[in-house]
Amino acid sequence: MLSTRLNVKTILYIVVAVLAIAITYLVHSQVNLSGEGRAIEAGLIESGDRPAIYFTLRNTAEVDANYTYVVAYNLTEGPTVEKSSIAVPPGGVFRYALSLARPSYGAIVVNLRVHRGSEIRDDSLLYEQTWIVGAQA
Amino acid sequence: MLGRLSATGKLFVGLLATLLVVSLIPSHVYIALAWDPATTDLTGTESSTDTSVANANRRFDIKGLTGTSGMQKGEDTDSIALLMKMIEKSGPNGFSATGMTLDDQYEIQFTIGGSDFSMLFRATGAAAGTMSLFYKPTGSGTWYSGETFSQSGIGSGTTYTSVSGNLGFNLKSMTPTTTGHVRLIVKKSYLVSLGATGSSVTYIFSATFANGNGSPGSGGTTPNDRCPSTGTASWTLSGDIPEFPLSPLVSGITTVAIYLYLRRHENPRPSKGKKPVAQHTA
Repeated sequence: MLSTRLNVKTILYIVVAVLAIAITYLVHSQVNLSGEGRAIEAGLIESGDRPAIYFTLRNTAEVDANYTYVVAYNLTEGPTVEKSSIAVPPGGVFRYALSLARPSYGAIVVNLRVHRGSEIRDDSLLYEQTWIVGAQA
Repeated sequence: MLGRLSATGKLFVGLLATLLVVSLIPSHVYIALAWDPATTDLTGTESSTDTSVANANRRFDIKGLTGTSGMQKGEDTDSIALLMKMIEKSGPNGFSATGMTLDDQYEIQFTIGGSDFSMLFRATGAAAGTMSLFYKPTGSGTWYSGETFSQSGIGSGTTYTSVSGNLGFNLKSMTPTTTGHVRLIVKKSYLVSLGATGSSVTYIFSATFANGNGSPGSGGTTPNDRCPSTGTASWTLSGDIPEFPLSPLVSGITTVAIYLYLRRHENPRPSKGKKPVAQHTA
Protein backbone atom coordinates (compact mmCIF):
# COMPACT_ATOMS: atom_id res chain seq x y z
CA MET A 1 0.00 0.00 0.00
CA LEU A 2 2.79 2.36 1.03
CA SER A 3 4.75 1.41 -2.08
CA THR A 4 1.75 2.16 -4.32
CA ARG A 5 1.32 5.62 -2.74
CA LEU A 6 4.99 6.31 -3.29
CA ASN A 7 4.68 5.30 -6.93
CA VAL A 8 1.67 7.58 -7.39
CA LYS A 9 3.57 10.45 -5.85
CA THR A 10 6.59 9.80 -8.02
CA ILE A 11 4.47 9.84 -11.15
CA LEU A 12 2.68 12.99 -10.06
CA TYR A 13 5.91 14.78 -9.23
CA ILE A 14 7.21 13.87 -12.69
CA VAL A 15 3.98 15.16 -14.23
CA VAL A 16 4.32 18.41 -12.27
CA ALA A 17 7.90 18.80 -13.47
CA VAL A 18 6.87 18.19 -17.10
CA LEU A 19 4.00 20.64 -16.79
CA ALA A 20 6.25 23.29 -15.31
CA ILE A 21 8.63 22.89 -18.24
CA ALA A 22 5.68 22.95 -20.67
CA ILE A 23 4.31 26.16 -19.16
CA THR A 24 7.70 27.82 -19.39
CA TYR A 25 7.99 26.76 -23.01
CA LEU A 26 4.45 27.89 -23.93
CA VAL A 27 4.80 31.28 -22.27
CA HIS A 28 8.19 31.77 -23.88
CA SER A 29 6.90 30.80 -27.32
CA GLN A 30 3.95 33.19 -27.05
CA VAL A 31 6.06 36.08 -25.83
CA ASN A 32 8.79 35.52 -28.37
CA LEU A 33 6.96 34.51 -31.52
CA SER A 34 9.80 35.29 -33.86
CA GLY A 35 12.78 33.87 -32.09
CA GLU A 36 15.03 32.77 -34.91
CA GLY A 37 18.63 32.50 -33.87
CA ARG A 38 20.43 32.78 -37.18
CA ALA A 39 20.86 35.97 -39.17
CA ILE A 40 20.05 34.50 -42.61
CA GLU A 41 18.61 31.13 -43.37
CA ALA A 42 17.59 30.02 -46.86
CA GLY A 43 16.37 26.83 -48.42
CA LEU A 44 14.45 25.01 -51.11
CA ILE A 45 11.23 23.20 -50.31
CA GLU A 46 10.54 20.41 -52.76
CA SER A 47 6.79 20.01 -52.71
CA GLY A 48 5.46 18.24 -55.77
CA ASP A 49 4.75 20.55 -58.67
CA ARG A 50 5.01 23.67 -56.47
CA PRO A 51 8.60 23.93 -55.20
CA ALA A 52 9.42 27.01 -53.15
CA ILE A 53 12.54 28.99 -52.34
CA TYR A 54 12.62 30.86 -49.07
CA PHE A 55 14.92 32.90 -46.91
CA THR A 56 14.61 34.40 -43.47
CA LEU A 57 16.63 37.42 -42.44
CA ARG A 58 16.94 38.62 -38.87
CA ASN A 59 18.37 42.00 -37.93
CA THR A 60 20.60 41.17 -34.98
CA ALA A 61 21.85 44.74 -34.64
CA GLU A 62 20.45 47.19 -32.13
CA VAL A 63 19.43 49.74 -34.77
CA ASP A 64 17.26 49.69 -37.89
CA ALA A 65 19.02 48.04 -40.80
CA ASN A 66 18.45 48.17 -44.54
CA TYR A 67 19.03 45.25 -46.83
CA THR A 68 18.63 44.63 -50.54
CA TYR A 69 17.79 41.25 -51.96
CA VAL A 70 17.89 40.10 -55.57
CA VAL A 71 16.17 36.93 -56.70
CA ALA A 72 16.87 35.96 -60.30
CA TYR A 73 15.31 32.98 -62.04
CA ASN A 74 14.43 31.83 -65.51
CA LEU A 75 10.88 31.03 -66.44
CA THR A 76 9.42 29.91 -69.73
CA GLU A 77 8.49 33.53 -70.41
CA GLY A 78 12.10 34.58 -69.89
CA PRO A 79 14.43 35.64 -67.09
CA THR A 80 12.84 37.27 -64.06
CA VAL A 81 14.61 39.45 -61.53
CA GLU A 82 13.01 40.55 -58.29
CA LYS A 83 14.94 43.24 -56.49
CA SER A 84 13.80 45.03 -53.38
CA SER A 85 15.24 47.13 -50.58
CA ILE A 86 13.82 46.47 -47.16
CA ALA A 87 14.04 47.99 -43.69
CA VAL A 88 14.10 45.70 -40.67
CA PRO A 89 13.90 46.92 -37.06
CA PRO A 90 16.23 45.65 -34.32
CA GLY A 91 15.40 42.03 -33.63
CA GLY A 92 12.92 42.06 -36.50
CA VAL A 93 12.58 39.23 -38.98
CA PHE A 94 11.96 39.51 -42.71
CA ARG A 95 10.70 36.48 -44.58
CA TYR A 96 10.69 35.91 -48.31
CA ALA A 97 9.26 33.02 -50.26
CA LEU A 98 9.06 32.31 -53.97
CA SER A 99 6.58 29.71 -55.13
CA LEU A 100 7.38 28.23 -58.53
CA ALA A 101 5.60 25.97 -60.96
CA ARG A 102 7.87 22.99 -61.58
CA PRO A 103 8.94 22.90 -65.24
CA SER A 104 7.73 20.06 -67.42
CA TYR A 105 11.23 19.82 -68.89
CA GLY A 106 14.62 21.37 -68.25
CA ALA A 107 15.25 23.22 -65.02
CA ILE A 108 14.75 26.54 -63.29
CA VAL A 109 17.91 28.10 -61.90
CA VAL A 110 17.25 30.42 -58.96
CA ASN A 111 19.93 32.72 -57.62
CA LEU A 112 19.51 34.64 -54.36
CA ARG A 113 21.74 37.44 -53.21
CA VAL A 114 21.28 39.48 -50.06
CA HIS A 115 23.21 42.70 -49.60
CA ARG A 116 23.66 44.96 -46.61
CA GLY A 117 22.33 48.46 -47.23
CA SER A 118 20.16 49.95 -49.94
CA GLU A 119 22.74 49.66 -52.70
CA ILE A 120 24.28 46.64 -54.35
CA ARG A 121 28.05 46.59 -54.02
CA ASP A 122 30.56 43.76 -54.14
CA ASP A 123 31.65 44.39 -50.56
CA SER A 124 28.09 44.49 -49.24
CA LEU A 125 27.17 40.92 -50.14
CA LEU A 126 25.91 39.05 -47.07
CA TYR A 127 24.61 35.89 -48.61
CA GLU A 128 24.42 34.12 -51.95
CA GLN A 129 22.86 30.83 -52.89
CA THR A 130 21.83 29.12 -56.12
CA TRP A 131 19.26 26.36 -56.49
CA ILE A 132 18.37 24.22 -59.47
CA VAL A 133 14.76 23.10 -59.64
CA GLY A 134 14.47 20.18 -62.01
CA ALA A 135 11.57 18.89 -64.04
CA GLN A 136 9.29 16.30 -62.56
CA ALA A 137 10.59 12.78 -63.06
CA MET B 1 4.35 0.82 -12.71
CA LEU B 2 0.86 2.08 -13.58
CA GLY B 3 -0.42 -1.42 -13.09
CA ARG B 4 0.04 -1.00 -9.37
CA LEU B 5 -2.14 2.08 -9.18
CA SER B 6 -5.72 2.00 -8.02
CA ALA B 7 -8.51 2.66 -10.54
CA THR B 8 -8.85 6.23 -9.24
CA GLY B 9 -5.11 6.76 -9.51
CA LYS B 10 -5.08 5.52 -13.12
CA LEU B 11 -8.00 7.76 -13.98
CA PHE B 12 -6.26 10.74 -12.39
CA VAL B 13 -2.97 10.12 -14.17
CA GLY B 14 -4.83 9.58 -17.45
CA LEU B 15 -6.69 12.85 -17.01
CA LEU B 16 -3.45 14.69 -16.33
CA ALA B 17 -1.77 13.15 -19.35
CA THR B 18 -4.70 14.19 -21.54
CA LEU B 19 -4.63 17.73 -20.23
CA LEU B 20 -0.89 17.85 -20.78
CA VAL B 21 -1.23 16.72 -24.38
CA VAL B 22 -4.06 19.19 -25.03
CA SER B 23 -2.07 22.05 -23.53
CA LEU B 24 0.93 21.23 -25.69
CA ILE B 25 -0.91 21.19 -29.02
CA PRO B 26 0.51 24.17 -30.89
CA SER B 27 -1.95 26.68 -32.25
CA HIS B 28 -0.83 26.13 -35.85
CA VAL B 29 -2.39 22.66 -35.76
CA TYR B 30 -5.71 24.41 -36.22
CA ILE B 31 -4.53 26.46 -39.18
CA ALA B 32 -5.72 24.01 -41.79
CA LEU B 33 -9.19 24.28 -40.35
CA ALA B 34 -9.29 28.06 -40.18
CA TRP B 35 -7.66 29.81 -43.07
CA ASP B 36 -8.95 31.94 -45.91
CA PRO B 37 -11.99 33.39 -44.12
CA ALA B 38 -15.13 34.28 -46.04
CA THR B 39 -15.80 38.00 -46.39
CA THR B 40 -18.83 40.26 -46.14
CA ASP B 41 -19.33 43.91 -47.03
CA LEU B 42 -17.36 46.42 -44.98
CA THR B 43 -19.58 49.18 -43.65
CA GLY B 44 -18.28 52.61 -44.55
CA THR B 45 -17.00 51.76 -47.99
CA GLU B 46 -20.17 52.72 -49.77
CA SER B 47 -20.11 55.39 -52.45
CA SER B 48 -17.68 58.26 -52.05
CA THR B 49 -17.95 61.73 -53.42
CA ASP B 50 -14.22 62.14 -53.81
CA THR B 51 -13.40 63.27 -57.30
CA SER B 52 -9.85 64.39 -56.80
CA VAL B 53 -8.31 61.69 -58.92
CA ALA B 54 -8.91 61.66 -62.64
CA ASN B 55 -11.08 58.77 -63.76
CA ALA B 56 -11.51 57.72 -60.17
CA ASN B 57 -14.67 59.55 -59.22
CA ARG B 58 -17.29 57.68 -57.23
CA ARG B 59 -14.55 55.32 -56.20
CA PHE B 60 -16.60 53.43 -53.65
CA ASP B 61 -19.25 52.78 -56.27
CA ILE B 62 -19.19 49.70 -58.37
CA LYS B 63 -20.38 50.38 -61.86
CA GLY B 64 -24.06 49.56 -62.20
CA LEU B 65 -24.36 48.68 -58.52
CA THR B 66 -25.17 51.91 -56.71
CA GLY B 67 -24.64 51.77 -52.97
CA THR B 68 -22.66 48.58 -53.07
CA SER B 69 -19.76 48.45 -50.65
CA GLY B 70 -16.40 48.60 -52.35
CA MET B 71 -14.58 46.57 -49.73
CA GLN B 72 -15.24 43.45 -47.71
CA LYS B 73 -13.80 42.04 -44.52
CA GLY B 74 -13.70 38.60 -42.90
CA GLU B 75 -12.09 36.72 -40.05
CA ASP B 76 -11.84 33.29 -38.53
CA THR B 77 -9.95 32.02 -35.52
CA ASP B 78 -6.70 32.14 -37.41
CA SER B 79 -6.70 34.96 -39.94
CA ILE B 80 -8.28 38.14 -41.18
CA ALA B 81 -9.01 38.99 -44.80
CA LEU B 82 -9.69 42.30 -46.51
CA LEU B 83 -11.02 42.48 -50.04
CA MET B 84 -11.27 45.25 -52.59
CA LYS B 85 -13.81 44.81 -55.33
CA MET B 86 -12.78 45.37 -58.91
CA ILE B 87 -15.14 47.32 -61.05
CA GLU B 88 -17.07 45.33 -63.62
CA LYS B 89 -15.85 46.99 -66.69
CA SER B 90 -14.61 45.54 -69.90
CA GLY B 91 -11.77 47.01 -71.86
CA PRO B 92 -8.33 48.19 -70.75
CA ASN B 93 -9.42 49.10 -67.23
CA GLY B 94 -10.98 45.77 -66.43
CA PHE B 95 -9.30 43.53 -63.90
CA SER B 96 -8.01 40.15 -64.95
CA ALA B 97 -6.07 37.95 -62.55
CA THR B 98 -4.29 36.32 -65.46
CA GLY B 99 -3.84 39.45 -67.54
CA MET B 100 -2.19 41.92 -65.20
CA THR B 101 0.24 44.57 -66.29
CA LEU B 102 3.73 44.69 -64.80
CA ASP B 103 3.82 46.81 -61.61
CA ASP B 104 0.07 47.04 -61.20
CA GLN B 105 -0.23 47.57 -57.46
CA TYR B 106 -3.07 46.86 -55.02
CA GLU B 107 -2.72 47.96 -51.42
CA ILE B 108 -4.86 47.70 -48.30
CA GLN B 109 -3.84 49.53 -45.15
CA PHE B 110 -5.22 49.23 -41.64
CA THR B 111 -4.35 49.93 -38.03
CA ILE B 112 -4.67 47.58 -35.05
CA GLY B 113 -3.69 48.91 -31.65
CA GLY B 114 -0.63 51.07 -32.06
CA SER B 115 0.59 49.49 -35.27
CA ASP B 116 -0.10 50.32 -38.90
CA PHE B 117 -0.09 47.54 -41.47
CA SER B 118 0.01 47.52 -45.23
CA MET B 119 -0.80 44.47 -47.33
CA LEU B 120 0.41 45.09 -50.83
CA PHE B 121 0.17 43.04 -54.00
CA ARG B 122 2.29 44.03 -56.98
CA ALA B 123 2.18 42.33 -60.35
CA THR B 124 5.47 41.00 -61.68
CA GLY B 125 3.87 39.52 -64.78
CA ALA B 126 0.55 38.80 -66.43
CA ALA B 127 -0.20 36.01 -63.95
CA ALA B 128 2.51 36.59 -61.37
CA GLY B 129 3.08 38.90 -58.47
CA THR B 130 4.35 39.45 -54.97
CA MET B 131 2.36 40.03 -51.81
CA SER B 132 4.15 41.92 -49.06
CA LEU B 133 3.27 42.89 -45.54
CA PHE B 134 4.70 46.12 -44.16
CA TYR B 135 4.29 47.46 -40.65
CA LYS B 136 5.21 50.44 -38.51
CA PRO B 137 4.30 52.01 -35.20
CA THR B 138 1.43 54.45 -35.72
CA GLY B 139 2.86 57.91 -36.23
CA SER B 140 6.22 56.65 -37.39
CA GLY B 141 7.33 57.42 -40.92
CA THR B 142 9.38 54.30 -41.54
CA TRP B 143 7.68 51.23 -42.92
CA TYR B 144 9.38 47.95 -42.02
CA SER B 145 9.25 44.92 -44.27
CA GLY B 146 7.70 41.88 -42.61
CA GLU B 147 7.27 39.25 -45.27
CA THR B 148 7.16 38.97 -49.04
CA PHE B 149 5.61 36.13 -50.96
CA SER B 150 6.14 35.74 -54.70
CA GLN B 151 3.86 33.60 -56.79
CA SER B 152 3.78 32.72 -60.47
CA GLY B 153 1.12 30.89 -62.45
CA ILE B 154 -1.71 32.69 -60.69
CA GLY B 155 -5.23 31.55 -61.53
CA SER B 156 -8.45 33.46 -61.01
CA GLY B 157 -10.24 32.59 -57.77
CA THR B 158 -7.43 30.46 -56.35
CA THR B 159 -6.05 31.21 -52.89
CA TYR B 160 -2.27 31.17 -52.55
CA THR B 161 -0.38 31.09 -49.26
CA SER B 162 3.17 31.88 -48.32
CA VAL B 163 5.57 29.19 -47.13
CA SER B 164 5.24 30.39 -43.55
CA GLY B 165 1.45 30.46 -43.81
CA ASN B 166 1.41 34.06 -42.60
CA LEU B 167 0.17 35.63 -45.83
CA GLY B 168 -2.17 34.73 -48.62
CA PHE B 169 -4.09 36.24 -51.49
CA ASN B 170 -6.88 35.49 -53.89
CA LEU B 171 -7.38 37.37 -57.16
CA LYS B 172 -10.58 37.02 -59.13
CA SER B 173 -11.11 38.37 -62.60
CA MET B 174 -14.11 40.55 -63.25
CA THR B 175 -16.63 39.67 -65.93
CA PRO B 176 -18.95 41.98 -67.86
CA THR B 177 -21.62 41.26 -65.26
CA THR B 178 -19.75 40.52 -62.02
CA THR B 179 -17.07 42.31 -60.06
CA GLY B 180 -13.61 40.89 -59.61
CA HIS B 181 -11.61 41.20 -56.44
CA VAL B 182 -8.23 41.31 -54.75
CA ARG B 183 -8.47 39.56 -51.38
CA LEU B 184 -5.45 39.79 -49.09
CA ILE B 185 -5.16 37.55 -46.04
CA VAL B 186 -2.89 37.67 -42.99
CA LYS B 187 -2.57 35.45 -39.96
CA LYS B 188 -3.60 37.05 -36.65
CA SER B 189 -0.66 35.61 -34.73
CA TYR B 190 1.68 37.18 -37.25
CA LEU B 191 0.10 40.60 -36.70
CA VAL B 192 0.51 40.07 -32.97
CA SER B 193 4.20 39.33 -33.40
CA LEU B 194 4.49 42.68 -35.18
CA GLY B 195 2.76 44.67 -32.45
CA ALA B 196 -1.00 44.38 -33.02
CA THR B 197 -3.18 44.34 -29.91
CA GLY B 198 -6.91 44.60 -29.33
CA SER B 199 -9.93 44.02 -31.51
CA SER B 200 -10.40 47.35 -33.25
CA VAL B 201 -9.30 47.60 -36.86
CA THR B 202 -9.29 51.23 -37.94
CA TYR B 203 -8.17 53.44 -40.81
CA ILE B 204 -8.89 50.74 -43.36
CA PHE B 205 -8.45 51.92 -46.90
CA SER B 206 -7.42 50.55 -50.24
CA ALA B 207 -5.52 52.04 -53.14
CA THR B 208 -4.44 50.87 -56.55
CA PHE B 209 -1.75 52.19 -58.85
CA ALA B 210 -0.38 51.55 -62.27
CA ASN B 211 3.43 51.57 -62.33
CA GLY B 212 3.51 51.02 -58.59
CA ASN B 213 6.87 51.21 -56.92
CA GLY B 214 6.24 48.53 -54.32
CA SER B 215 6.25 50.96 -51.40
CA PRO B 216 3.32 51.31 -49.01
CA GLY B 217 1.49 54.58 -48.56
CA SER B 218 2.76 56.37 -51.62
CA GLY B 219 3.07 53.49 -53.96
CA GLY B 220 2.75 55.31 -57.24
CA THR B 221 1.75 58.37 -59.13
CA THR B 222 -0.84 56.90 -61.45
CA PRO B 223 -3.95 55.81 -59.55
CA ASN B 224 -6.12 53.22 -61.17
CA ASP B 225 -9.87 53.53 -61.16
CA ARG B 226 -10.55 49.87 -60.86
CA CYS B 227 -11.48 49.71 -57.23
CA PRO B 228 -12.56 51.73 -54.23
CA SER B 229 -9.81 53.71 -52.61
CA THR B 230 -11.05 56.85 -50.91
CA GLY B 231 -11.63 57.44 -47.21
CA THR B 232 -11.25 54.99 -44.36
CA ALA B 233 -13.47 52.47 -42.62
CA SER B 234 -13.40 50.64 -39.30
CA TRP B 235 -14.14 47.11 -38.20
CA THR B 236 -14.24 45.34 -34.85
CA LEU B 237 -12.93 41.80 -34.65
CA SER B 238 -15.00 39.24 -32.77
CA GLY B 239 -12.15 38.66 -30.34
CA ASP B 240 -9.02 40.40 -29.17
CA ILE B 241 -5.71 39.62 -30.73
CA PRO B 242 -3.70 38.11 -29.25
CA GLU B 243 -6.36 35.69 -28.20
CA PHE B 244 -6.45 34.56 -24.58
CA PRO B 245 -3.51 32.19 -24.01
CA LEU B 246 -5.50 29.06 -23.28
CA SER B 247 -2.65 26.54 -23.40
CA PRO B 248 -0.60 28.01 -20.54
CA LEU B 249 -3.85 28.41 -18.58
CA VAL B 250 -4.75 24.74 -18.97
CA SER B 251 -1.23 23.72 -17.97
CA GLY B 252 -1.26 26.09 -15.01
CA ILE B 253 -4.58 24.87 -13.66
CA THR B 254 -3.45 21.26 -14.01
CA THR B 255 -0.22 21.97 -12.18
CA VAL B 256 -1.99 23.72 -9.32
CA ALA B 257 -4.48 20.86 -9.05
CA ILE B 258 -1.71 18.31 -8.77
CA TYR B 259 0.18 20.43 -6.29
CA LEU B 260 -2.89 20.72 -4.04
CA TYR B 261 -3.52 16.99 -4.38
CA LEU B 262 0.02 16.22 -3.32
CA ARG B 263 -0.10 18.62 -0.39
CA ARG B 264 -3.31 17.13 0.85
CA HIS B 265 -1.95 13.60 0.68
CA GLU B 266 1.38 14.60 2.13
CA ASN B 267 -0.23 16.21 5.23
CA PRO B 268 -3.77 14.85 5.51
CA ARG B 269 -6.01 16.98 7.69
CA PRO B 270 -7.66 15.23 10.60
CA SER B 271 -11.32 14.56 9.91
CA LYS B 272 -13.78 16.81 11.72
CA GLY B 273 -15.80 15.19 14.48
CA LYS B 274 -13.33 12.45 15.01
CA LYS B 275 -11.15 12.56 18.00
CA PRO B 276 -7.70 11.16 17.77
CA VAL B 277 -7.49 7.76 19.23
CA ALA B 278 -5.28 7.65 22.26
CA GLN B 279 -2.67 5.02 22.20
CA HIS B 280 -1.91 3.19 25.33
CA THR B 281 1.10 1.26 25.97
CA ALA B 282 1.35 -1.33 28.53
